[in-house]
Amino acid sequence: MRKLSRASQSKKKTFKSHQAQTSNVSFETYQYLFEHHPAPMWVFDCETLRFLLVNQAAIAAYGYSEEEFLSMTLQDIRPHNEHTALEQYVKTPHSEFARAGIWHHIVKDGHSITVEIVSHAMDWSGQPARLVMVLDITEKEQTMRALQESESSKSALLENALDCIISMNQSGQITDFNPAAETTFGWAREFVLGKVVSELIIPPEHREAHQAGLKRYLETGESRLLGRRIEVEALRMDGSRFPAELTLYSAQNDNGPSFTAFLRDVSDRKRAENALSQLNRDLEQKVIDRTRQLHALNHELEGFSYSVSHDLRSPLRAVDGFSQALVEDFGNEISPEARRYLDRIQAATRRMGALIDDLIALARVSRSGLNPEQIDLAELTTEIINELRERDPNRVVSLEMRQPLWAFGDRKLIRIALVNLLQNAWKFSSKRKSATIRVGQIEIEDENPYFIQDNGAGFDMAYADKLFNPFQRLHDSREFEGTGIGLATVQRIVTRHGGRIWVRAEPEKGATFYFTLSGDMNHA
Amino acid sequence: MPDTHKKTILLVEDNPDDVELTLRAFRQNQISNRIDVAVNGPDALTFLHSQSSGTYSNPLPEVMLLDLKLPMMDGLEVLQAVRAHPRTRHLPVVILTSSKEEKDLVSGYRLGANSYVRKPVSFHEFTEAVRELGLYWLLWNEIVQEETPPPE
Repeated sequence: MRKLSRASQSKKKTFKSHQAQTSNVSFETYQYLFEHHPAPMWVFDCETLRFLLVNQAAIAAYGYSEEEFLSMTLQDIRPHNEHTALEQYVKTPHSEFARAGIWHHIVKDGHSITVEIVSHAMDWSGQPARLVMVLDITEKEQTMRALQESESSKSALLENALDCIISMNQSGQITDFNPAAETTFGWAREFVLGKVVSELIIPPEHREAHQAGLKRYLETGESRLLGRRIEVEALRMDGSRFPAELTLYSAQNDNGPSFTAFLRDVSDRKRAENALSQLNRDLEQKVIDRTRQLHALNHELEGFSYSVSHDLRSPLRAVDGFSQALVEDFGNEISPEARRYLDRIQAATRRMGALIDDLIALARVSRSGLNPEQIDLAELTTEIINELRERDPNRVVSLEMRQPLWAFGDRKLIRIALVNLLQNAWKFSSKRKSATIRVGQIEIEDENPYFIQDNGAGFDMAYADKLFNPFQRLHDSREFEGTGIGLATVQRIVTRHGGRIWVRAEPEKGATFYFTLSGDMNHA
Repeated sequence: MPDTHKKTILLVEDNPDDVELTLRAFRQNQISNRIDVAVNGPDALTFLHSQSSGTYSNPLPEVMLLDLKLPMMDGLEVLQAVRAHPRTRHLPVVILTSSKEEKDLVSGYRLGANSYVRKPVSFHEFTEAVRELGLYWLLWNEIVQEETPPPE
């Protein structure tokens, strides 16, 4: 045990006299009580404000030694801004026992503590003095402040949240109802506080389930809703309903669990979702309808072209056949001019026959299915050129070609396209002494088109865009024969392969046809 | 040259122009066999299958030239009926038509046609085709000898 200091020893008699008045407890006991009291205590001189006596708790709490304390005044442990207040306080007369309230003290290392002071007046060898007990409330104050901050930020959250925040206690009574909830539901906070939540905002048919869920949770601690985001139907003051997204949390309080619901009106989203799915359904139905119409049309077209190929050709055969019969049976009786007319009738019927055949081919290209595979265009080209050479052995046409020339497409259709393009090249170069057909693939602006080039008659590019229309011809039929359907057929085939076709030409310098095949076969 | 005169041809064709031109083409090719003409399917089947007192009413032709586009029964239906009957199960049938439709070609062969010839618009080419047909089916082709009709 620490020995009493000189100062305290010199004041023994003061304690003694005091003790004598109150009880028969020994002086040493009192001295011990002061010295070892767990709260910091001291005695100060009311005039000089000097410390007259300090206990161990004060020494420990403030960091000053007893000697240091006894050489200091109360002002030394006050922040500057409290000096005047202290002087004022000490000057005013106080009752014997006084709660001095909350002050700030500076401890030896310089940091500030918040203290609550109680004091008692005493006589110190005739000098007025006060016995002081200090309660350090720094931590308590910090906790209080944090609590206040948390409260105010919580209420800011509640006030400003866009979501409805509704709290209820275990009886289902509303304990909080934020402005968003007021706006959404139409109820005023003052009205709903204390009311049972299910009777206000839950549609009648769901109330029983709500009560049962609450009861089950209170009894078993089990809940199907807590912490999950669910969709519910909610009831407004005016009786209207709206779809809401709800998340429910519970908290344990002294008086049982409480619940907080975060709720959001999702009407707009629902409407958008419904509109979207309706739109999708409509679209699907439209696709189904259109497909059906397309099938019907296709079927009709099929019947039509079948009819055309049959029924248009029969009369042509008759015209040609009987013209021929006239020539054969009555050749001697008809004049040379009549005979020339008959020749022209026959030529016309053959041309019309060719037209019908080409039209049927064009129609067939549009509706036949695609069986894409890897094909060598060079191989096909060689085949076709050989056929052309056989049919027209007097022509000398040289073929320049890169081999192989891989492509992905429907072999039958691609062959039809190549036949048309090569026949054109063959035909339009027929007036050249040394005709050349070049076939290959080049790179132009991210595309790798195949090309078929001739050095023949060519044409004026001004008409290039008309070239791919059916029946469009850029040459006099006396000059070059043809039905004008071939390139329309080629374009159809290329388009069905997801590609495109274009042409570069110059009169008397030849033409180059370029085409791509994307491999994307979903084009009409 | 073997005697082909007893051999007959059945032409099933509804268009009188085509009938006349076909007959003319045969004539021009010096094919002088008898040519019976049926203008629709039922007529053709009656001609081939009708019997009286245990024998068939008409001689079995050497070859049948069958148009596809016919009134009442179309040519493929006629072909089916021809193949279903014991007398004509092996009768050579040449489809002679304007149609170049692939599905007609395929169905024609699937139903047992022996040949499929598309009538060209040009009479000259048609005459040529008829000549080759006549040569092949009347001169070179051997057919299954006819049996007696099954008892009724």
